[in-house]
Amino acid sequence: MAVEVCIPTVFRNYTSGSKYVTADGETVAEVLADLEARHPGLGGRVMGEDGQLRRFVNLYVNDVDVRTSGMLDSRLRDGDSLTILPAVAGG
Amino acid sequence: MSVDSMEVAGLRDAWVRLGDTELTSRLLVGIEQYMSPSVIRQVLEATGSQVFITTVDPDNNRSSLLLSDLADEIAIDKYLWIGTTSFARSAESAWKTVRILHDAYGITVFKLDVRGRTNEPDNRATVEVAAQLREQGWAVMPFILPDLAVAKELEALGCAALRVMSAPVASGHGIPNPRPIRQIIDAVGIPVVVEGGLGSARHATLAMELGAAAVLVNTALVKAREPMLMAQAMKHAVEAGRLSYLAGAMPGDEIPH
Repeated sequence: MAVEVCIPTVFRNYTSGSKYVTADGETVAEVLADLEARHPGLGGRVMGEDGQLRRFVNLYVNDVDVRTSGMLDSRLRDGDSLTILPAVAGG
Repeated sequence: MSVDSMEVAGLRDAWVRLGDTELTSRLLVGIEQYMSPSVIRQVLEATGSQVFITTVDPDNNRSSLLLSDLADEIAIDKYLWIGTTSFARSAESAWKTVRILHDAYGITVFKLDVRGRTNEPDNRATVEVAAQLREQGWAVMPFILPDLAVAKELEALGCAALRVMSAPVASGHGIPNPRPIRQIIDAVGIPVVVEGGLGSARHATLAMELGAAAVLVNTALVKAREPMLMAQAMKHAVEAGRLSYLAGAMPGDEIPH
């Protein structure tokens, strides 16, 4: 199950500057695990040591916030997109 | 009333109500462009900031320090959280940013920026999004180019305060043309924040002498040789300017009306 993952600017040091990368998995948790395997360090920026989504990081499957759709158990289909959108300091 | 109590009243009274929170600090500080959470913490402390400004970038073009990292350094929940749309370059993007900040974090106070390609405020688009925010009942502080008609339109929408651009953002040019800003301050009944291009203490003092309710700075501190010294300078400058405004200056160097 290949999905496209949109990487925010602040995390692109983990993806050699790539704005979009591909990862496999049937759930958000599986995709994040695959992301970590392909881009070491990235998974830890999205999930805490407790295995939960970090408070200030938002995930969207095709623009739907996973907090409203099953969190890390949210299911993905082939061709879906997963967007990582962290909150940042504002000016 | 003693001189001391007059000074305290002039500097410590609430100047704006944002949701359930009244602000007394007249120095608002943006925290973009920093490289270190500890520097942001020190800047917030040195300036006496009561607000913590955050955003997201749905267009995925900009970078800033993560709240995940800032929360390890700063007790961010003690501040009033203000969501900003300063990364947005269209009304659609600004509205999307607002929705995300509200839905994810419950933010109901917004520093609304809708800027065009030149990075200057798009006044019409700003009014459009401000109207959407007000329909939700949220507190809005929109950023505009000095335009009296637009200022009155935003006041009529029920905006909590206006933020009026004094010079291009991050230019350090100060307030090259005080007259239109003064006209807005004199004509509207809501607080006016002067922002954009304020690079040094004298710019902040002039803004307050114009009658601004507050100033907002960001790059002035980031780009100063000693950001923490400039943070303190700005704090004193805002207070000096406010007291000078209340005192009423002698004739000889009038600020244009």
